[in-house]
Amino acid sequence: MTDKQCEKLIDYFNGQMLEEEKETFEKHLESCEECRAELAEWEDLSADLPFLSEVEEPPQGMKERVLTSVWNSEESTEAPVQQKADERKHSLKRAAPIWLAGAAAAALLFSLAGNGYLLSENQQLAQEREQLAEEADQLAFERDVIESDYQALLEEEQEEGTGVADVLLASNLASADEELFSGEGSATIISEDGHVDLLVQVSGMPDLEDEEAFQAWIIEGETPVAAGSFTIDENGNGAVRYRLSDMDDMQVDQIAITLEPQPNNEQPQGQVVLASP
Amino acid sequence: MEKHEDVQLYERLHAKDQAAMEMLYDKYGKLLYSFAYKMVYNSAGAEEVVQEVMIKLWRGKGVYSAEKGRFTTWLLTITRHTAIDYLRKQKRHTEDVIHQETEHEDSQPGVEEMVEWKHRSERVKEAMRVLKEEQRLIIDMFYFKGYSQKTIAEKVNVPLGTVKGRIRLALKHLKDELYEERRDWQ
Repeated sequence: MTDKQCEKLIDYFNGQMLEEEKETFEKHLESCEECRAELAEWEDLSADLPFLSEVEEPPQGMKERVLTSVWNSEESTEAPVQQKADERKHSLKRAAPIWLAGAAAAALLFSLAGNGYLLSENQQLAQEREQLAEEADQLAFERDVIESDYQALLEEEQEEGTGVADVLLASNLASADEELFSGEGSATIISEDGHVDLLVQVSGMPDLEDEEAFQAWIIEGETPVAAGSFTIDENGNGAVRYRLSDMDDMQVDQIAITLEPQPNNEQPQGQVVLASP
Repeated sequence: MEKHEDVQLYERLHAKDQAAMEMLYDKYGKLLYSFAYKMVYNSAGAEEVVQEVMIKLWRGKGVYSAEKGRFTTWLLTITRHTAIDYLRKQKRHTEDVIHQETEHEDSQPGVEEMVEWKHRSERVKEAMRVLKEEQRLIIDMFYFKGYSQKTIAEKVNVPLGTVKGRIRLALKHLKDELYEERRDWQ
């Protein structure tokens, strides 16, 4: 399988290998003069490329922030960051500048257009895979290689799937008339691992009767889109998580909770009890 | 001479000399930031990358020795790997935007310590200009975006097995042009 290892030089050069794969490749490298020569050549040829970068002025205060982090890193008891291909799971979290959180929060209010990125990327990848499959028909011998790499990509995606969730929207839910309805709650839309979920939490809700259930709705313009039913405990607390991933690029104008005669209605039958502003 | 200074700085870093760290930042911070910015394409991300690189250096991750070539090259390689990790983590490859820097000639650094940057930048930009669009594209995907072989194959719509050949060809072409430039200058 030496030839196959030689083909992996790109991923080695770009640090796109899992640790085990990297170790296997490095063993191969010891015995393959051709790969060693090629690697050295690539390193040599690319040494000038960073200088293609335009001069960018670092943000104000960057030096102080960076050096402070450096000094703090010395005091930290945290295990040193591994300079390995699999470090991505934990490497940069500590170093994240504070304003990132603010920027992320500001980036989205009532629009999920941005989070369509992952979905559209998947769609694009899917289209490109189809094109590759057509080529594979013509070049049948390529097919096995492509399929095995596809598996590797899936594994990679799964591994990367343990990433951090981003909040796309967070809003309080309140009663229009507190005299009539005393409950309150919150709605959060998060993006994680390529999925978009709506999380609703409520408290202080009145008891339900018979088959009654509360139901969340995403209001898009004037149109309510059903987003999960839930009941409450004896203290009036309830919660529901609802996956929105198939609602690519939807516009969220409001989130509302209704009291329905039965759960999982397609269209609201009961009255709105809580709503986002 | 410059090499010697860098090696001294590096050795002082190992001895946990804070002043040396600061000098290193002053000397290379802007270059590393600009390179990181070209790769991750946002300023907060570029700062994060530089910060991570500096922390790696301070903690003694990655050992430099003269056999590894120039100190600057070594430093830029660490920065590149850190930026690739950042991109992979963020999943924010600006994949369809290929940035052609060959058009911005007047924004070059003027300060003395950046003379090398200016010099090498002009040379490599000149060489890049001669490359075919598809070769510039593949260098961008391979080097600056750090894509996997699989992703490059999909993006440029070529069989997986030919990606390596394409990269090698593009880099060779670039090298030929660079040598051509050097001869012209002498």
